[in-house]
Amino acid sequence: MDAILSLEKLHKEYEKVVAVHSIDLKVPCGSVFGLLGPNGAGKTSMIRIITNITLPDSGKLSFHFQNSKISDPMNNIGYLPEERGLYPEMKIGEQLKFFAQMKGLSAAKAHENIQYWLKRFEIEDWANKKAQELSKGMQQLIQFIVSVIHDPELLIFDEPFSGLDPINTERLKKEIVDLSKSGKTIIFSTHQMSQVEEICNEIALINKGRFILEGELKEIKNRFKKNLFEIKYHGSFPNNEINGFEITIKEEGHAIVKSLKECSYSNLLKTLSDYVEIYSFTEILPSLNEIFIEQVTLAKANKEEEHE
Amino acid sequence: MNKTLLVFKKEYLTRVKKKSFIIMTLLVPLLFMLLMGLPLAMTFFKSGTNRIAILDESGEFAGVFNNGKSLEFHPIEGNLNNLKEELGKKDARFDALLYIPKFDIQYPNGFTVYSDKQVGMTIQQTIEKTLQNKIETLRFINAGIDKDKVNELKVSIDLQNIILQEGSEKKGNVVASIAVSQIMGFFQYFMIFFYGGLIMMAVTEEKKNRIVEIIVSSIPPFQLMLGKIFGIAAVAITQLLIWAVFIVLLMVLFSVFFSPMLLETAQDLEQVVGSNSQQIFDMIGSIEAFNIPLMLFSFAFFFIFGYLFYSALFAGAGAVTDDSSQNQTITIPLSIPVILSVMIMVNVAEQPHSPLAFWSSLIPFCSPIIMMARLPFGVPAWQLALSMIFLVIGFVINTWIAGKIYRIGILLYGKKINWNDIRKWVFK
Repeated sequence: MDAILSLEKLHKEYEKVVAVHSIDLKVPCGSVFGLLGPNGAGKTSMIRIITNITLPDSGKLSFHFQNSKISDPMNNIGYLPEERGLYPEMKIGEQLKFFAQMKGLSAAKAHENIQYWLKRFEIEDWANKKAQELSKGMQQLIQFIVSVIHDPELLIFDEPFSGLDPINTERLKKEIVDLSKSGKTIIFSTHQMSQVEEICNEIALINKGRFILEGELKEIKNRFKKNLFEIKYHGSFPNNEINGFEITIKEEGHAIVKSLKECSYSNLLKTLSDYVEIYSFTEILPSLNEIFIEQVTLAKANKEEEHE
Repeated sequence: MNKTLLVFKKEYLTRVKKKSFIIMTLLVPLLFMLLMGLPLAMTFFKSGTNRIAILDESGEFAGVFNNGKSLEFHPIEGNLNNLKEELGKKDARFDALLYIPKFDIQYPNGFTVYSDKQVGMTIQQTIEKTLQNKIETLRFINAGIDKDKVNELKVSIDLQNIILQEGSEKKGNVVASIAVSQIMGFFQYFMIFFYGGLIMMAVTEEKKNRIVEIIVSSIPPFQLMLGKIFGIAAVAITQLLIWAVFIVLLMVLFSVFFSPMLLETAQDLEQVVGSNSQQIFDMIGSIEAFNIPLMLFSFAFFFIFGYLFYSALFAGAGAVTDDSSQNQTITIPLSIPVILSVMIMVNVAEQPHSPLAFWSSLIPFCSPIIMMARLPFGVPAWQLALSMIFLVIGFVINTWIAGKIYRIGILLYGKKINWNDIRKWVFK
């Protein structure tokens, strides 16, 4: 798959901190790309470079959009910043029109798209309301619309769900999934791992301005799996270790099995079936959260070693 | 450039449509009208004629008091205490009672007006003047001097100031020049602060509401800043034009409907104060002697570029201001040159061609105010041109500096920014 966005040796330093440390990255076209990392890792710095808000000190940034009619790449990117707001005294309709036109839309096209989105969220009657009359959650919906109003190919959401109630979170999640289905590429920055697992198919883990992990979500999860399986069964095991399988019984008929060596599922089932009758079997993959914490801790330890 | 225009349009339209803008735009001409119309209205609604009874125990003042338009004098006989009681009654024969006792010509005193309300200026001054005149005449007679002769010998000098310029002669008038100079200077000062403050608020608002990150992902910060500055400049110019149209309209209405009344008032005034009206007419005449097209052009020029010069700085200041920290203080140095200019301006009225006036009218920080204050006194063309050029150059430099500060400042939150940081942003 072609990369819609590629970064080459992208570097940005502030006075004392290296925010982005000579990063290479390719975001595949049509992917939902999770940009993960703890606070202050350099996510926002990186996004600001991609969105042309700040300039990198060195390195190259290139876009490959399908629609070559849009000359300014900025007009083909939708951005929902973490810190976001609206003009409090401006009517929602006017505001959306302003932002749409700022992204290069004609007045007529802007109007058409505004109608589409207001209708989609069933909030047509908000058009004449001022932003300050809306609740914070409502304002966030409008901010989301601002980021997609010009129908961009690349969408960047920085912590899109922060401050949203569960209902609006679900609504927005559905929209993001729909956008992805319609072929948009989405970069999704967060430190909420559970959301990433639900939505993303590609991830990159960033810490202190460097990538410490990147690739397909499934592949990464497999890479870090610990050969753990959860089984439900009838009968009982004679002891806690059988032919290279370590068995930890949680309760009657429910155990965690750790394979001490790489083995196939059928091999595992065959071996265990000699002792008990298995009626449920699941592989336990590590959660992204676990991988994340492990990797960040590891990176920290490595660094300390370097220092010593 | 298209996007700059969008920002320009948005800034302009949202402001012009605001209630506060409409109110202020209408209020100022109304205030102006009130200011002009009030003295007139007062004479218009003046309560009829005042009847003043004169109880003259000295016997010297028979026929001395002449009836005026609003004053009637009646000699009266009787007991002072009885007459006093009549005051304020419904069927009183007079509104006020002037009591003239027997007096010593060397030390005249004891003259009193009794009334049930405070008497007005006109009554007070007319009576005082008449009394003084009569007693003076009496003294002249006592001293054996012919008063008419003395009046003949009296002299009044009116010093004329003729300004020679490019072969033509113009009548100058220092009072008119000072008035015009200070009015224009103060107006510039007001507009710079008002609209400079407005641009600062506009920038801070975007920063505070966290809108700015979305916007700068669509438009480079420098273009955004320009759009804002020019958008608000257009608001200022709109307002100024509306005021100008209103004021001209009002003046025309005024001269058509009210000038006969004005003339009467002037004559009334003359009766009281003496023959000062010639001076007033001279002053009005000398305003016409100013080079009005040049003044208007210069005013517009210094207004627009003075605003632009400062607004760039105010935009930069707005970008580093964020109400969570003490960055507010960073804007104080900005107001110092403006306030200093106003202080110099007062001095300029006394010495319009002093070195202080000269230099400060060239320096862009003060020139919008000082040059306007100097202009009515006549400024050589080369000085005016130089001052204008400096101001434009200053505007370009300021905008460049402000652009650098703006670009970084608007995205910084919660960090305390000091002058050292700003220096780094600008010169990096």
